Amino acid sequence: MLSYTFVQHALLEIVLLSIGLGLLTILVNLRDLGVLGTGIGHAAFTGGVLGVLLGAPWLWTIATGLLVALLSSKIEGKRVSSANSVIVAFTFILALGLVLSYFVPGQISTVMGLLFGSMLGVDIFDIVLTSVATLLLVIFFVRYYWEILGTSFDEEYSAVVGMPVKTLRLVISVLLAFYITVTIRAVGTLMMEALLVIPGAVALQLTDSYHKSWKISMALIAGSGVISLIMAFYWNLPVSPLMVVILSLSFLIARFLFKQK
Amino acid sequence: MSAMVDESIVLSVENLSVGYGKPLVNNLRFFIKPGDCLGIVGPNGAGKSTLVRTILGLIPPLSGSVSFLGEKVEELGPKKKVKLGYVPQRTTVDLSFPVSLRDVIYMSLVNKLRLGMLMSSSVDDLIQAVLSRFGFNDPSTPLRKLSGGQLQRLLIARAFVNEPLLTIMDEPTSNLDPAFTDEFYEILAEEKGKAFILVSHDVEGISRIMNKCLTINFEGWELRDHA
Repeated sequence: MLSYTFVQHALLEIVLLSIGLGLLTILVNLRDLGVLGTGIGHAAFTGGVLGVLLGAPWLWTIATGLLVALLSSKIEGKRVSSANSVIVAFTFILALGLVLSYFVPGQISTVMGLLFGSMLGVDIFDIVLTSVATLLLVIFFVRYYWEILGTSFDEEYSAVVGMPVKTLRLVISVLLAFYITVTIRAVGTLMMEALLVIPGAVALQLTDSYHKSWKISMALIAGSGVISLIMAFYWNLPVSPLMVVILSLSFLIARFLFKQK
Repeated sequence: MSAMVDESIVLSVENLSVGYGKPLVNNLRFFIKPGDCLGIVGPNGAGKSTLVRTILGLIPPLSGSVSFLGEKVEELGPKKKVKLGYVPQRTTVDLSFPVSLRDVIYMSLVNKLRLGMLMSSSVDDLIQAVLSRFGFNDPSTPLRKLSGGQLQRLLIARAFVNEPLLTIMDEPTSNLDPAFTDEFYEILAEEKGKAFILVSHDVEGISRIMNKCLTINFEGWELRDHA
């Protein structure tokens, strides 16, 4: 199985995703960013449509993801909650994509592929992009580990003692958007939100320690990814949905069978 | 015209009006010097917490200004911000957050460490000392295991660990048991030369330590010296 290049690529992508999504999933849970992740993932559909129309789909996918992150941060404010600002931003961009998709009826299957992802279809270019995004995330998390923790725990207090709360919030949104959009081809729009939320939710059921939660979520993504890859190879099944099934079962076990002391 | 900065003034509030669109408090003026303890009292909804949030720079004033150590509070750099302490209402903090008591205190020290105002080798001793002072023995205790009163004590410890020149507290004794409430006021009295602003419904309690009292109600405000 490992002698096949596409399996090697998929395995490498899963290892990178376990690091990147392992970091992001804890933040998504603690900072309630699930809706933002969903919005960015769905906006990737429009990026795909623009890619079919104009070329360079990865560039358009990144652009639409970043646009959701930036637009929602500008909309949020008086009487517009964080979640609603994301919904306004991403539905606007998604609707534009749906309108534009009528101009590419012959190639709509290419765009639809984005919805479900193709782990076994990732190429070197995808891996390079994922490596860059993962490296950026790791550098950011290592450098601002305590600031990220502090602002996630108590944003108001962090602002009073001089932490760059607004800048951190924006950087986290942009990095989240960048990471989702460069990995969307492998994971798929519909599965992305599950991978952003469930591993962190499982980890936070299993530990009281923020410091340990990263390691647990990374192990969960890597483990579910490798098992799914093996099942996908031998039974011709899609990788991302299998990962989500395994992670969802892990969540149910952690939620209902594991009791913290 | 260049205004002279009186270095003995920690906080200066000038013609301050606060509120969300509609003013709750109008043309407020007062200053705080080292050793002062200002009690802010008044009914719910009169604007006490809004005033505190404006003084801290969390929301912009409708008019007027707030200066901390001679600098406008919204323009404070990180070196001055670490000299400002804050104890929020307990309800702003999520008790299920996956951190230990040590983590909570450490987060408060991060800026001082980054600015080189604190040696990393002294951090553990500092954390242990402040936690002991506020009645905690084990820094590795998960936050989730605390009661409401213990969380309140932890939030006070978090502000104190930075040794701020001015600490602003919003209902700091609301969840404390009577024994620790007494101890809390004793701890404040021990902090010679430090300044405090306490928003509280416990008028009798804060009367033990405040030397100024600001009453805010729906008709206006009144500032009195308190013996």
